[in-house]
Amino acid sequence: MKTELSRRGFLKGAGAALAFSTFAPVSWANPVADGRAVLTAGRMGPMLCELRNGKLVATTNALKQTVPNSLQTTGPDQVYTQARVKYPMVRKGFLANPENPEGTRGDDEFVRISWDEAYNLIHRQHMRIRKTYGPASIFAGSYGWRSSGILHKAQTLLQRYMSMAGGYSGHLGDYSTGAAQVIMPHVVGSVEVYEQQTTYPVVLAHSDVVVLWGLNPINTLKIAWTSTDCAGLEFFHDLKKSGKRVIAIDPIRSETVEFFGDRVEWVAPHPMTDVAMMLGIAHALVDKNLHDQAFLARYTTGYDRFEDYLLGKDDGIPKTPQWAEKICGVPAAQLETLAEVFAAQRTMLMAGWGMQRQQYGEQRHWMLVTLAAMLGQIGLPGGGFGLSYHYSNGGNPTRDAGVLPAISASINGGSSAGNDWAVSGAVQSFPVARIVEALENPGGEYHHNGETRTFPDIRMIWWAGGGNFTHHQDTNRLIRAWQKPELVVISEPYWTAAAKHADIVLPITTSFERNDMTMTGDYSNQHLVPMKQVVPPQWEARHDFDVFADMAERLKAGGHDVYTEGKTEMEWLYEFYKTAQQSGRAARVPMPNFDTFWVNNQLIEMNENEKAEKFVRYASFREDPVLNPLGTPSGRIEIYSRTIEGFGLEDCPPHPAWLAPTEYTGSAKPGELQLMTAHAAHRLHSQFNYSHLRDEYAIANREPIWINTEDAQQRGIQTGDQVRAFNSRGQVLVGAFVTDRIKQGSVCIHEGAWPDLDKKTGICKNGGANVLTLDIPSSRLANGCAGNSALVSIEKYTGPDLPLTAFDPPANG
Amino acid sequence: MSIKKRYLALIVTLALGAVLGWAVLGGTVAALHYTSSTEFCVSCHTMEQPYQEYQGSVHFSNAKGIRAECSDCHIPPTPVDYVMRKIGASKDVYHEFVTGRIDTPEKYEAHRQEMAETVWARFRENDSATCRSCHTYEAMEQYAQSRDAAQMHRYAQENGETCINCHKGVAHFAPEVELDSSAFDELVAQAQHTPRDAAQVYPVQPMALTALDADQSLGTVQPTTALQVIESDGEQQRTVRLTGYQMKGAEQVLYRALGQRAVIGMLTDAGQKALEASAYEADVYGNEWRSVVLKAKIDQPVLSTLAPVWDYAETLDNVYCSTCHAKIPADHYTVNAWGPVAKSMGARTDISKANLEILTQYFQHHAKDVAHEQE
Repeated sequence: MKTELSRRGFLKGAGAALAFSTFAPVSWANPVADGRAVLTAGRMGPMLCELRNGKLVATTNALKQTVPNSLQTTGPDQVYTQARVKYPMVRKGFLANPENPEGTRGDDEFVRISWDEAYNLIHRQHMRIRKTYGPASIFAGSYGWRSSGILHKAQTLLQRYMSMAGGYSGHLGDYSTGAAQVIMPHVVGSVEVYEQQTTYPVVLAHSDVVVLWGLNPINTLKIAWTSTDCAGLEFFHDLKKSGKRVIAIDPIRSETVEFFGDRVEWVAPHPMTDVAMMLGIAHALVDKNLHDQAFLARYTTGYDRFEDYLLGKDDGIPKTPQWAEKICGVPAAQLETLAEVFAAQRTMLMAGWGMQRQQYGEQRHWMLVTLAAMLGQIGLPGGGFGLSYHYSNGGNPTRDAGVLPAISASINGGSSAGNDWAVSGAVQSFPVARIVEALENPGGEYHHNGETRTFPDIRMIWWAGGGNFTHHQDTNRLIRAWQKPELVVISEPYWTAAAKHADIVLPITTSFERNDMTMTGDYSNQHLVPMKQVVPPQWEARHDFDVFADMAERLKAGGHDVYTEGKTEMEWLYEFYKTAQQSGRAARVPMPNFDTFWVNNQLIEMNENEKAEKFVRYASFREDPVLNPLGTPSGRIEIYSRTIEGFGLEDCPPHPAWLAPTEYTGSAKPGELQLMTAHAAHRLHSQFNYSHLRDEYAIANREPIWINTEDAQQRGIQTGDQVRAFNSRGQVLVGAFVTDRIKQGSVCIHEGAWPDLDKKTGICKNGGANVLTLDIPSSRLANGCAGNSALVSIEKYTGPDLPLTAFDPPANG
Repeated sequence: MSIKKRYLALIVTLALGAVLGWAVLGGTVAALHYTSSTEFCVSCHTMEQPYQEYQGSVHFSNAKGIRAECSDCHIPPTPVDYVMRKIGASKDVYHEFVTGRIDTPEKYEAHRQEMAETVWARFRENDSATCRSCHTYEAMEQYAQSRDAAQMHRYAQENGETCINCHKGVAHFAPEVELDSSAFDELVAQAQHTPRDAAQVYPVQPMALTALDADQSLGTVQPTTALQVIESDGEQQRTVRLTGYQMKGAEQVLYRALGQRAVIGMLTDAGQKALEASAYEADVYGNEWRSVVLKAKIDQPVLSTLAPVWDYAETLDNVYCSTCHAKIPADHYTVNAWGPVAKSMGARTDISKANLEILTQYFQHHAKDVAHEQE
């Protein structure tokens, strides 16, 4: 079943004129068009939804694509999975005594209640806690990958309600780039990780060598933060065809490396040793006098201090390729070759983020930028470095576009807006990955980016649109800390581990059950897509928007209309579209009026911009570093940062340096292996773990563990075996995938499997990787997560058969 | 009888004539009416583009459910103009079927400017008569309008402005303006012929400043900045003296005058060291300024008078600024206001960086708070 998507969805010609001459009321209430597939969008891109007898039976890609995207087929699973939360549910021990609940979160039974009962129960406890402990005691940071859309934004809607209630504790940063987004402004004056890259056409035209340093775009470009424009996978397809030299540096022969096949050179260092490897290359550059001294003098500051360290003048240890080989496991000769190749040819160093989700993660990209500066190609077409090529299609040229705004996390306060609400946003915030530390250590002091801050005393948590039990490290420690608050509310479509560990669970609609809109391409703004409702809300699910509007009414009479600004779902979308239309007009994109757009069931493609297609990151800085300085204190690339020096941090020195992590191959005791927690091919983090795609990857009905052939042989493990992976923090049951596609000494359990802890043994039956990982900050500079830092032991599992319950609702649910 | 017959003949003739006349006239009216319908207009392939643009505009759909059809804007209501417009429009049919002059988006874009100019000229000739068939000053509630809109409407009424002078692109997209580079090239060419003995010269584009005794960059000087010539080698090499101001905290930047943020140059570390400087003095806001002099070598063509640059800047003003809004005289804003205003407005056009710099300098040189000196 196909719907024709023209470049722009207009009714054309004379017939159209006639059609517009009579007023045809738009049937907003009826989401299903006349037998055509309905257009919607998700993180995985614009999708066409096929319906049969009112049921969603298939979702497929709506844009042309060469590289398949499995995630686009998960629509029916998302709507109809058994894991759906059907009714508002409350923990029995909580219901019995809400002010002093009995039982343990995660162990208790759930009881079905009505929406009104749930609202009142939450409202009363929320008000009590707020009154007793103040707004900082309520955590509404609610981090996670809610579904796409500009109106039904779970976290924003939660915070909008909490701001009307008088404020809350929020979060800083994220799990993805926690370390990089804090260090990069000190180094290059911008966050870098979320910025447009030198464009695909420029790379294809000018780069001689493309280095994929720890990124797996074939997996990660299946999705984008808004909705993928699907251009990134096409780019890597073109790159493969181009015949350019592609070098992949990755402990895993990833899906991307496989995709390039014999067109790629695969170099496998030990995990977490990237800085040592880069230092080895840097040393070779200096040794061969291949570093660009003119570039370093004009565009950077502090190179001399760094060079003293590199050559061992300050610590007596020259960071030679031979020194690096011992740490990273890549032969010194290969490091020297890499130095020569990089220096001789126009080289684009593309780096992923996994390398900074580690202890001392700040050092990785700092060292990478330093290496790129030594090569002197930053700001040249196709040269330098890029930290966002694997994410949201960074590099797809920015379009001239009509851009959609989104609902905001606060109402317009004050009497001028016709209301007298004392609105407050976040009264304080802490680095998101430190939530367990905050729960364990209320009022405790900690350092963050040069400041001394204090953790709030969290008494209530409301999480909407995020899977914190999968994305947070050290699950067992999380579960212990999770007992501390007096109230935990989870708004969710699904019975995730977080929902199962809540007091109150509210059933929320999926994006297929509501109307919304999105842009595609976080950097490109390539399309504006209607996200049309496909099926009615399932069971008793409600939209976050309606839930929080109802809750706002309980704060004070009239709160509902203040929250919604008196507008319905479609009225909000109309206004958003009007704004987009205005900017579209300025960008010369013809966009029909909203009614036409909505009925057309077609996306709008934005105009290409010739200048934007030629964008080269840092070109203007290179052209004139005085007129176009960077945002650093010196205006240049800071290889040595006086600011960071001033912070006096032991775990983040003032220039990039190799710091041996606590848990890595170099510190492994006999039998211990390094655990990597890479992104899975058929999930968006924990999303869709319940879908039919699981059949494609699960081994022995468990999340797979990749084990090097040699390591497996030593332990008598074969592909298909159930394996127990464990350390002092916990244990998980996984299915063995024995392969040469992973560096010896390391294993990989892809992150995102839903924790499913066996009550008796405590073993996670679904292979949740974070049961094993370390919950420590990257450093006290950034406090990023360190989800790739852990040593584990593995053995063939011989215990009793443990049936999987990860996707089962609780009894009564 | 014969009389009767003649009567009859007359009656018959008259009746026939009436029928015929009715038919012809009626047919003409019907034809004129039909060919004024939006349905007829957009039945041509070439009208698809303007039709799409119009469909996103408030003249196509709005809360009140009122629509201005093609003819409402494009065919004047007075009988003579009406007929003239009808006849004139026949050339559209000719181009549709014979020449295909605008039958691709690219061709349409290539002709957009001249088509827009033609239509705007027509609006100016009849004082925007078709606009005024719906919109009149008398019918406007000024307090229902934004303050800016009300103010502009008062200004327009007092000064006899016509609607189209400001309201361009209200149905179809306004042409994307881009100046061809010939005028600028002309400016650069003129600079080649600047007398070697000129005592004061002006760059036309950002120009490198080099140290007197070494091949070291001192910074760049912005176009239109006055440079006193100390020595000239007869070619393009000149030793010049640049006078300006420095503000504490932004030592890299050279400003034209104390307290006025008109940037005339950017300095490297070496450039800052090479300055001859007076003592700092504070302005009313507590910012500290000092006058500085820099001696440097230049080797690029320069002008000996700013007159051609200002002519060029006025062209830029016409092309980039007053296509979208009524022209704002340079002395409307202060030096400090013009910097950000020009930057943010410039970002909304396609003006090049070099041209925006010249335009900004033009505004700042002629700003409200600049004493009218030499030039």
